[in-house]
Amino acid sequence: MSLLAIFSQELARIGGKPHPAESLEQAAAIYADICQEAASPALRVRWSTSLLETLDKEAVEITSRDRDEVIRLCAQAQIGLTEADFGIAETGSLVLESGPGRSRLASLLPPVHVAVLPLGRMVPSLQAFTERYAREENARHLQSMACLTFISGPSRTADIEMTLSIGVHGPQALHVILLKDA
Amino acid sequence: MKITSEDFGTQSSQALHDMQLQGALALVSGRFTQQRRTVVSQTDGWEEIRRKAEQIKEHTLDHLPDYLEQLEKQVQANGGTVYRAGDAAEACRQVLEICRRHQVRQVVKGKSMVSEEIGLNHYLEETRLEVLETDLGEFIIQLAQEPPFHIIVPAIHKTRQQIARLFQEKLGVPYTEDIAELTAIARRTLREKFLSAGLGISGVNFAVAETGGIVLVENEGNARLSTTAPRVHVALMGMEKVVPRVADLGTFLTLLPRSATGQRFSSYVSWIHGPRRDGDADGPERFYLIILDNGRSKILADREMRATLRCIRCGACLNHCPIYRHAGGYSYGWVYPGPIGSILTPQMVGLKKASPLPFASSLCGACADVCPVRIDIPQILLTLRHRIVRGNAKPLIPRVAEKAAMRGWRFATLHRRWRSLGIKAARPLQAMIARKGWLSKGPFPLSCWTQTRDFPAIAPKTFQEWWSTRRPPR
Ligand code: SF4
Repeated sequence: MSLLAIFSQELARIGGKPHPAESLEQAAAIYADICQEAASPALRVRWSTSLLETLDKEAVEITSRDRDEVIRLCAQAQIGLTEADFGIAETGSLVLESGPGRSRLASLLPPVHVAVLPLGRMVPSLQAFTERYAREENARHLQSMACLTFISGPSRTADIEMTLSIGVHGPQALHVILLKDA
Repeated sequence: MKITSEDFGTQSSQALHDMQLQGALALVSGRFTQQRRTVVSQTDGWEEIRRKAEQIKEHTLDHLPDYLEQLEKQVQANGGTVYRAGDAAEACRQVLEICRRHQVRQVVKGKSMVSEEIGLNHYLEETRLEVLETDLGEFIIQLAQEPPFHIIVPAIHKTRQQIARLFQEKLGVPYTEDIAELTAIARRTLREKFLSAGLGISGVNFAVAETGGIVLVENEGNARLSTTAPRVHVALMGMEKVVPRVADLGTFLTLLPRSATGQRFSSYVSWIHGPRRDGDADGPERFYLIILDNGRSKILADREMRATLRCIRCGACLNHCPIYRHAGGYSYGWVYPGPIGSILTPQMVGLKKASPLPFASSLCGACADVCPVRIDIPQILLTLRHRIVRGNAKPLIPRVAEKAAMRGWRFATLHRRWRSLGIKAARPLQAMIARKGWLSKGPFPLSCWTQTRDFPAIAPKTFQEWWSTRRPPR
């Protein structure tokens, strides 16, 4: 099985939605569908990367600004759009690095999280991923960011009678657009 | 938290008669053990990964002061501040001091066993700070003013009806038994608090000496919120939580979710390296790490006990323990229940205050079989039993009675004549009460046993008696 297939299967199993896209145009079409499905007209927030800029010019870029403003925007948004730095096939996980233009709350406060994962960033397993950091320079790079977040499916809990509930504090829906490399 | 481990006997027999509790325990242990079994069978090289984890932990414990020092330096390099706390009181004071320094009135908390251990909520509430647990299970038990029942699912002993009434009464919402709706109520209530709180407190699943990072593992997103939205983040860790390198995390993050809930990975895992950096849009402005000793150095120095410190608090030993599965969390009388509680509590609060715990085990070994860091819990239980008996840490009457019984046993096994005489004398006596080879009641001290189960009657013929009629003449 290809890494893409493993990732998609695993993500679907844990309640996320994989969307393979052959091209940027197709990714845009998928994204438009997701937006339509989530209540419209909806406030959307996103990271400021060039890829996401082409995908959604209108979404509000969350950059370094007044703290309360960032919180207010992310809390009111229906959709948070981010770009994953890595994907882990074995567990269907996204890895997001924090940094300028890469808000942590954008993937957390909106009820719908959409992430674009370029397929070249896929690694097979968690072990393979953590072993990257056996290299000193990678470990130093890691340390330079405030937070590295692994996201595997939507927010969930089974705290009441062991019954699964989705979307307890974080997003209720997670869409991953798996973008084939140009 | 008041320690009532001394009353394990009465507490557990109460639990045994609580049918609702028994149902909840069967549900949680059944579900978690089954899910774990499935995912472990799908994991290549599971035993090897366990051995690797054991080895990393042992190595870390061998050099613990060095790794803690490295961790401290790296946290500082990341722009964070480190405090060392010798005991619970000191850690509580440090948290309060941080709250005061930043003029915080409202605190949100992610799940942390260490904060339960030091009684942090109670301490902060006394000073009129508002402290809110945000993990759904912790939120429920905080409303009910109860301690956690299980390390992973703290409110599992409550039914949806009880939770519905609790929410109705404490939050003023309409009564609903719908679990999705109850979850949504908690989401709405807590969402506001996350955004207004000045300070967030989290536990630490692993701390990485190499990078000064802390790792948080969760499913709900409340730990992420508590450590991202407020201006100040305080992380609390027991000093045994450190691992040397980032590359070690692959091992531990493979083991923890699988052992805890049977998931391949938890929904959210955060690796946090201090406060927000220049140009970041969000994240806390200040980061504090409190490293707690609270008796751990003593455990570290004790060769026979040291392995206790490998524990990663996955809860697997609880779910697999035939005693926990019936006695439940509260019987253990302190923060840590189940097999890990039985070895940790006596070491932390003292043998005297927790003397029944090491005996609350059938020594079946299920805990050791599943423990992801291969702690030989039964061996530690035996050592603790030995120390309790030797150190006269048991209450006087059972101690004297047990000694007398053991003496009697010794006499009987060493003196065959007397033993067979005794058996012969006992037969006519038991004939009055035995039924079909079982005694279901009897005089003290036999009654201690027969109150809860039948006792096998002495056979009509002992083996020796039978053998003597069979032995070919020499
Ligand atoms: S003792 Fe082992 S099985 Fe029990 S909680 Fe700790 S790590 Fe898990």
